[in-house]
Amino acid sequence: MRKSDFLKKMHDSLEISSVENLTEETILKQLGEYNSMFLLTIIAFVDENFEMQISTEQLLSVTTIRSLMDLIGYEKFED
Amino acid sequence: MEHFFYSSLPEEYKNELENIFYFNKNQYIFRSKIEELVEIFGVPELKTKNQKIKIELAKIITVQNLFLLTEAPPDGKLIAVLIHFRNNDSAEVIHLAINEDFSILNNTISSPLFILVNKLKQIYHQIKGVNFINFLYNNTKIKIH
Repeated sequence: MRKSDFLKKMHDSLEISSVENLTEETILKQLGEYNSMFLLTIIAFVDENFEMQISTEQLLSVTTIRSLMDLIGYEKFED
Repeated sequence: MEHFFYSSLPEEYKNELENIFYFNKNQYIFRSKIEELVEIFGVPELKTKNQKIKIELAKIITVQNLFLLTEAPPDGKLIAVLIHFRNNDSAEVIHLAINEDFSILNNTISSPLFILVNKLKQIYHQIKGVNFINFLYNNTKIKIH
């Protein structure tokens, strides 16, 4: 998946309205939507798009979008 | 930290349950969805039977309650309640309410939501044919297996 497509898809799928766009540097905890339900939604989003199940423990170690991409596998993303 | 789960509560918890379920400040986040779910499944009502209380919905009889407490009754404090039922291959979570006093744990591994999700996975893992948990507040689907 292209990085730009991932960022847009995540922004739209998770119905993020607190920022206009996501970047790799976006800090998840700074998003207005950030709460435990939001984290569950990320788990579902990653599963649906990458067929990968991440645990709540793994997700809680994620800080930025880039670190989420690292968890998924950064090599899976294209420029 | 040990967790205590129950499918009903002693009636002494009536006020505590009412406060968490009906007067929860965080419910505004999903307000429109909650109103939609009340239309579909009916108004959640607190029912007492054999000195135990549960939340029931008028339009669906097969709902289950899952209560999370800090310790066993009567000393345990009610942390959260979740209303769910099986619908074909999914466990549908119709309502969820978390005690605001525990919201500080929301973004940690001790998050009441994560604890309830893990318990629900355990419960439905044993039931053949149920593949995911669906949170109706925002249609988030979590795989069970």
